[in-house]
Amino acid sequence: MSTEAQTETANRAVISTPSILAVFLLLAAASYGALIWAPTESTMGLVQRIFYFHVSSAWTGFVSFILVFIGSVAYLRTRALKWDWLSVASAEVGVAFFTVVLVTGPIWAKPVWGIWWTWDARLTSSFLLWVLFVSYLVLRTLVEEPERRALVSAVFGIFAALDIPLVYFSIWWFRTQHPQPVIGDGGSLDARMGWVLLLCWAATLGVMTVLIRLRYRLEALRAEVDAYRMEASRNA
Amino acid sequence: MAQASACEHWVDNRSELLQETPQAEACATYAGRTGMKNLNFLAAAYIAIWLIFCGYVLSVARRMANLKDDIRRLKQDGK
Repeated sequence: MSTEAQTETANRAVISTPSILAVFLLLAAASYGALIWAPTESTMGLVQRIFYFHVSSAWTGFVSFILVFIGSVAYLRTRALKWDWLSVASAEVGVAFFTVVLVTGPIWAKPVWGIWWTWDARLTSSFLLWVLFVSYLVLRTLVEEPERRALVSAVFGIFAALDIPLVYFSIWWFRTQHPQPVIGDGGSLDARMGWVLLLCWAATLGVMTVLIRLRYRLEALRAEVDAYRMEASRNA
Repeated sequence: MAQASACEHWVDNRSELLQETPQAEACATYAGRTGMKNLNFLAAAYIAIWLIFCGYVLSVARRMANLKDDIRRLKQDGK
């Protein structure tokens, strides 16, 4: 598919009002669940309510970065620019979600651990993941030619995504200050807290979808500008 | 009151927090019972989340508006 055709497809993929409304409703329900409906945790008190959006943002960040990996592999196989657009859109949205994780984590840690930050395996690998994807975005600004930028980014995107399993499994592989998982095997999360966590994850996934589509459209517009500029320079 | 004072001392000596001592556990429970005092941390976290996402959406909207202007200008120049 030509760049023009891909741009047309992206322009048609306008985010509909009902989908935005649905995401807002999900966010409102998730906020109500996290701040009011979920029971107050007996040891940490109110501050534990940070957990719902902290954990769901981390999971959604992982999903975004996995999309970068998928987009990068697909670009290397097909050389279709639409996969590069998906990768950059997902990387930027993933960085936003991981910024939330890295900001809310210390705000939660301070009253509970007494410290804002510690360089344990989970925290360090999460920070490294964020730095890698910020570097991915910076790297893209250094290469002007679209095909070359897409190629370099795809290789770096695959490399950066290799940190995802390290972050996820760090609490099993290393002794960390960060708590063990509260759901799944060995988890002891209250049922109502579990439902609120899942609701928050659904809401953050909805936000992620809307933001990726918006950012994808931005990349399509950028390609359109590049195409017009090339045409203008050919005519000059 | 005595517990509050002990816990304030405990919070001042942050290195002790990394150890699972009975003092740490008692103070954590105390902090949970008086959880309202951590309301500012909860508010800060939720405000930060909204600021990050609103900032991001505004940044995308601004970049999109700039690109649309560029396209309009390039189309006019082409005519």
